[in-house]
Amino acid sequence: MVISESVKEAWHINEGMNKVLLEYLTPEMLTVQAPSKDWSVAGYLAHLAASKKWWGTHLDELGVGSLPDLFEETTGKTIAEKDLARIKDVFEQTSQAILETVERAANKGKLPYPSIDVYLIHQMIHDGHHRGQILLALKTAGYTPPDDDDFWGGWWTDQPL
Amino acid sequence: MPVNETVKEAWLINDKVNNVLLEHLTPNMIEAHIPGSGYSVAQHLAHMAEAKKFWGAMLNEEQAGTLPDLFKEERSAETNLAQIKDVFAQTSKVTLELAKSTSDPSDFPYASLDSYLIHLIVHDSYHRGQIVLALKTAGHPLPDEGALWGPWRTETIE
Repeated sequence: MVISESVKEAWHINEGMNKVLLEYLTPEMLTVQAPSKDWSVAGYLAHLAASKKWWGTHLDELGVGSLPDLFEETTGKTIAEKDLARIKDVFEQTSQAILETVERAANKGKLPYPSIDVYLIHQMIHDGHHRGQILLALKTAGYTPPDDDDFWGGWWTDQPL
Repeated sequence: MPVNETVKEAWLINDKVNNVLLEHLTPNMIEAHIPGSGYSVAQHLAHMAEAKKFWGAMLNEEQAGTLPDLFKEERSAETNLAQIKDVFAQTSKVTLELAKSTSDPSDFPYASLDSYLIHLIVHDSYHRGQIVLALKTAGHPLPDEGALWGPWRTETIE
């Protein structure tokens, strides 16, 4: 097996953080942008899914390449999905597909990473980076962030005192 | 179970990414923050060091608990970049050394030492994302994307 059990477990915990975030979001939050007029929240989410899909195709072009996108290109514009149910569904499909792909893989294929473990950790870091930006944009727009223990708590076996 | 070699590697890569960010920062960037949003860049950095120290002290109070802080009185944060870089280097080294040398993390609230280190890496990335957004909003140049993400990969991607 090319993936360590502990990294697989971390992948599930990271999925849990994404689920907490997606459950916390409301339709009106999806259009929020930071004052820098960066991506909207929906844009970030579309990017997170697209990134997993892009890198995953280096391991399984056909299987991962057929995953749905959370954006569409129309006349020079990229429009991000704003249906939360669909976003949650694509996130789940994508995460599961990536994990199944790495579990089946005999080696790291065309992935330009030192190992499958590092590839997956990078994807988690990428998620973390943009989760931070999503929540900062929302905070700036006046929304209360999700409960810290709910958001981070998946990493611990017991809540720290 | 000891720390997996791949997770140690990821820790060192994360260190490199933090160094890219720290090398990019200048004294006039360190106080940047989005109005109404909380932490300045300096406070994010202080919190990143603080989190590693807090968790490390649960493994070994003597070694991790004595690490220097980047928060000062009333949650104001160190703004001297040389000091920040030094504390980051010390804290990261001690955190990894403690994880590698711990034989019985039974009282530690993580499923494994790997999970603990990956959590801290993810925590760093969360705050790095917010730092980058704060810099962008304040009109500062951003760290080169290739430099920030490249350490994870073995080849440059076109």
